[in-house]
Amino acid sequence: MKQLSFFLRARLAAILLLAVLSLCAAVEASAHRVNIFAWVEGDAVLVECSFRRNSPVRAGTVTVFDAVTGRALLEGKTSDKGRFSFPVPPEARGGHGLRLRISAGEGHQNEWLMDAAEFAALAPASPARSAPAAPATPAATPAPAPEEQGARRAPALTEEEFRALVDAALESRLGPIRRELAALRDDGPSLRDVIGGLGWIMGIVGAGLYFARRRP
Amino acid sequence: MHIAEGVLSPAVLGAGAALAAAGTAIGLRKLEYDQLIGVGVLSAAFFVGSLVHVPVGLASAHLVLNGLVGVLLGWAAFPSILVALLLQALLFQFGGFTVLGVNACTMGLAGVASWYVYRAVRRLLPGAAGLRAAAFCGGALGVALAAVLTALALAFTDEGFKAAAGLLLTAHLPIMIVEGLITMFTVSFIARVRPEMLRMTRNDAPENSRS
Repeated sequence: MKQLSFFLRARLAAILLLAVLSLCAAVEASAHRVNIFAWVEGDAVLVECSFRRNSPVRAGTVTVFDAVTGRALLEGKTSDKGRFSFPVPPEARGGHGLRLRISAGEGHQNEWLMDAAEFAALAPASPARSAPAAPATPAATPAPAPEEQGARRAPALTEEEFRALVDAALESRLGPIRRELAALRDDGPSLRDVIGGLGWIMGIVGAGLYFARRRP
Repeated sequence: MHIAEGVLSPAVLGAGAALAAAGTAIGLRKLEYDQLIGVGVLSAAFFVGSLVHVPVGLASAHLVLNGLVGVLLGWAAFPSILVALLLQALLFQFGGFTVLGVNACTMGLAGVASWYVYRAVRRLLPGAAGLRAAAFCGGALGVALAAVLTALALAFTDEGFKAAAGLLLTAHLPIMIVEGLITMFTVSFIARVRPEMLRMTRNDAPENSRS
């Protein structure tokens, strides 16, 4: 028993050292995992891929799939900043979601799902142009509208239409931020994960010792 | 070095799972009561080691420590690494469930191979210097072989063996040296404070390896 504790102490010293080192690393939110994150901006979809917060995926292959049919729609390489953008494909305007896959090489791969709802603002062909332009123009358009276009069309925006426009604009602005928060939250293993894992290993060893001892 | 979900074909995944099951069975059969705590402690080291990044060289890669686990445990490294990989997949989202077998094979087999190399070098060069050299070789070789085996698993994807092996080996060159040193210091430390443990694996080995 004395030998055991001596051996344990020696090993524990090494493990403690490793644990301290790893905690420093964990603060940096390291991951041997590739992260992908995408959002709609105007008429385009922007994709951002990184290994960690400050290490973007350079020249990784992004493949875009139709989430409903599973067909590959387009493919592209990420830039030096780990970014890739493509125009919203007609399938997404037609109410299909998108599945984006990043292949960063060496077996690194991850996927991001874009729900059809994210493209809702662009859904029909004609409002697709007006919706993204709306946030910049409301001040300009309503002013001339009553005088010049009043005769031709509905005079001004009804309250409901205006609310929808503001909602769409807010959604397109806040969406990425919300997403980014979500991405940051699961950015890497936390201290809890590390300690939990070590606890599991201890438990498994304990169970092994117990059963090994009972077997003569 | 962890391969992610969805990269490999079902055939490769199945082969990996079968090999990992065989390796784990051999490991569990050779596992002795006295080794159990060592297996757990090294499993913990492997589990945590993946969080330690070595920011040297082209890409910052993390420690693997499969060479260290292999040198100290022999075939028992297999179950030890499997448990750590399972927990890494569950808690860190490194690798994944379906690729667990393949990942356990790449790192476990490399660990076992580095144990054989460690023993061979030890036999060639007796003495303290020989022990250090053997441990360094074992630690460094574990990473190198894991890189080659990972590339082999990727050989059937569109990335191809050559490109993957080249990338993985260059990215892990600093890791090889660091892990060689870690293994060297750990083994010589154990040789000082608890030499029975090393002798046990060494005396135990010849009969086992020929069975």
